[in-house]
Amino acid sequence: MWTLLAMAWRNVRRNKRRTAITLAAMVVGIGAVISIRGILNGLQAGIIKASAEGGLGALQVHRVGYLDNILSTPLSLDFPVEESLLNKVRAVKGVRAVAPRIQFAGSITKSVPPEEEMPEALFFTAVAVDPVLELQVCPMRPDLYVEGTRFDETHLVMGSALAASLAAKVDDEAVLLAPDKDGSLNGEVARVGGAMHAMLPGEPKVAVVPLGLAQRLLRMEGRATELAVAVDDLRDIDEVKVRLAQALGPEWEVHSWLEVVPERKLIMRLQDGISAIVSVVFLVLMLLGVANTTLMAVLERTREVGTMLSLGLTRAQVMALFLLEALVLGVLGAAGGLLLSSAFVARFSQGGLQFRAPSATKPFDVLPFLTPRFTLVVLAVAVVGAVVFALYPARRASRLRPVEALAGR
Amino acid sequence: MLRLLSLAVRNVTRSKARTALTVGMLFFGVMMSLTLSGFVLGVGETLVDEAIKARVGAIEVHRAGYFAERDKSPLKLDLEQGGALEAKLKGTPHVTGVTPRILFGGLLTNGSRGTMVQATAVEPSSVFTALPLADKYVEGGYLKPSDTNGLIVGTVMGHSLALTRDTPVMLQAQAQNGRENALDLELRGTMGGQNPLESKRAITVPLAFAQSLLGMKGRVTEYVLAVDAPENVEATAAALRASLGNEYEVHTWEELRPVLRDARIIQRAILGAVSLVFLIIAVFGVANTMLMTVMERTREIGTMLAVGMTRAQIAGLFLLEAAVQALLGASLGVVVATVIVRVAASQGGFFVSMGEGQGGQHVMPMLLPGAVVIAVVAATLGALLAAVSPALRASRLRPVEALSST
Repeated sequence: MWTLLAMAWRNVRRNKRRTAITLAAMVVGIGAVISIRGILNGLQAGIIKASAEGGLGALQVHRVGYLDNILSTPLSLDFPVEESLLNKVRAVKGVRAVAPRIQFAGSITKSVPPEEEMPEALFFTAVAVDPVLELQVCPMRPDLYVEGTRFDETHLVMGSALAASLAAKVDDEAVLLAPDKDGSLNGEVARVGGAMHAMLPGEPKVAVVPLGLAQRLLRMEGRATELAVAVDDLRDIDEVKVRLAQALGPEWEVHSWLEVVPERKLIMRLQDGISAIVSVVFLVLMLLGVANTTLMAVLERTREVGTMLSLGLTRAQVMALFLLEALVLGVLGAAGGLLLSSAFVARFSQGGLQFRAPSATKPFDVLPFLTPRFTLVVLAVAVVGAVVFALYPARRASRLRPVEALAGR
Repeated sequence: MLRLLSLAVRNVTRSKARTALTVGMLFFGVMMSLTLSGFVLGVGETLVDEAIKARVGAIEVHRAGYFAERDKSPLKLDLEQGGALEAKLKGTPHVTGVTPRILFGGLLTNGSRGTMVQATAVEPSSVFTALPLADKYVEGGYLKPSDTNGLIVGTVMGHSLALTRDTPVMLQAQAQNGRENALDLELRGTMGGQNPLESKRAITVPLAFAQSLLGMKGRVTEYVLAVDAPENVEATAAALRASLGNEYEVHTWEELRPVLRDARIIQRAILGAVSLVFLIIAVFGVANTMLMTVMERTREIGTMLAVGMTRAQIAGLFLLEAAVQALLGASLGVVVATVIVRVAASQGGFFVSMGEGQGGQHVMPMLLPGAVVIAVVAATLGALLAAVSPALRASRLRPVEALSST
């Protein structure tokens, strides 16, 4: 066996140019497959982080039936915010923080002196959050604020499109109007705290409002419609979700952020699907190259095979020799591809790649990384595939008749 | 030249296994990159097509200054309905349809709760001339020409507000004069088509309804125009800008929905990169085969040189062999990819679901002629490039040594 391997190694080195060309194809193919997955890993981690920590919260707790009606932000499915409830949530294993919220829709007007004409009102959707507790759940929120923005008990922050249409400056007064639980319209004065960017596609006319102000506006003192929950580790999100749902009981529903924005889940699934197809095609093309090289080696070395057979090598050994040559090519190509993609990922793993989602106003950093599982699978497919694709030529060599092969026919 | 070509063709058919591998690699590379681009570009082109034929229109005309403030959908920058402007738009060459609209924001309530919506008021009698797919995905029926209080909502929105045909719904909005106003509506249909780039808060109402709600009798905020062919959009927009003057502004769908343009660019860049890697790998395969062919046929080359073929002819012969294989593989790839895409399209395309009860998107896969040309040319050029070094090597052999080699 070792002798065969040594021979295979020597044979691979015999035709340097051909080996180099085959390896180049393999290195490019494997390198591209692993690098593309690395970029996607970074992109998806970015989407997950921006979603879970930038606005939605990893988990959301509502009264049963809320998510079905989330677009209409029903205020009737509300609950009192009591410390005992919050503590119950906090006590669940894996929960890092919790914050009460109210989602509502209303209109906003910049207040102007009465002698001026009636100002234009803009309809918008808002999420009311507790300025202190919210930061523990969504620590990335302030990263989205435009410089100089302040958010506290009296200041609200508007999405950049809303802020631009209202032409509002920091500390301007704004009047919020919204129907309360009973449908009667109510108003409240707030101050403009600034604007925020969006990193992911979504509604352009949005605002973040201090919870206290929203509770007065909606006549919901001490109440909320949503609890945003942060988890210790986003990878355990599903387990925490189950534990939380058990701890709270049947009157509550718990959803992960993926269920709140199913389109993001769909986009990630599509990305996975397309990259899987591309990877398969790259690998097949590359392995066809290996098959090609082995076939040539067999054709070229017909007389040599004849010699080996007449010297007493068994047919199995001849076949093994050519398979080993393919294996050597596979291993070298896989190693080269791994090196190439590792270099690529290392180059960008500290930043340098940015992605701007369609209709988003701020790009986010894509930090590519490799997962051992996917990398190992690709490398294994490349090595095993090289051997499999060499089966036909190797079998052909082992079937040669010594006399005819020696005559070069 | 022709004799060289026939020689090349004969040589290609000599070693069937090897030719099959080379042609197979190029075929697979071209076929896969074209099929993949057919499906991916299908998604993009479907989104663009729907934007032009169902939502945005090819061209929109507004009062000057509207575009800069479009996020607020200002009602004060309005236009006359009917009259000289509309006649002028209709008379513009290449314009095949004109319809007026009002865009405005409001609060849609079902009696117990309300939410913010983005309303588009359309004239049911003319909307299909400019937006022929306006009722695509609409279930339950679109607005009838005489309709004055019909409502079309997105599936998710309808579900959220628990809307049925019997639910009393009210739309509240700020009228043109600044006063708040509200009027009742009746649900006519729901719109299932939902793509992540469009708002779930979009609703459609009749123009007559919006005009009485907003106090805008005989006024509209925009005209939507259809153009006979996509390639005429830019020219028609330019012609309109010149003929309408400074009072109005004209924008194409690309300016109105930069998201779509960006998504298209990103998509094409990614596909380009993927196809490039496909071709690089395939070309390496061709290089290998050509190298092998030259080595194998050393004695033959010696003979050819000895009987008087020039070195240029030898190099040409090997380049031609590469080209023949590349063209064969690429054309097979184009044929198979075309069949796959055609079959998929004749089955009605495919449906990308946005999740339970969220609607989805019909996608029609398509092959862009440009992509086909690029793939064939790139495969052939790549194969030729890969064959240059082996061909030169062949042409530089010395006849005597080549003849005596084994």
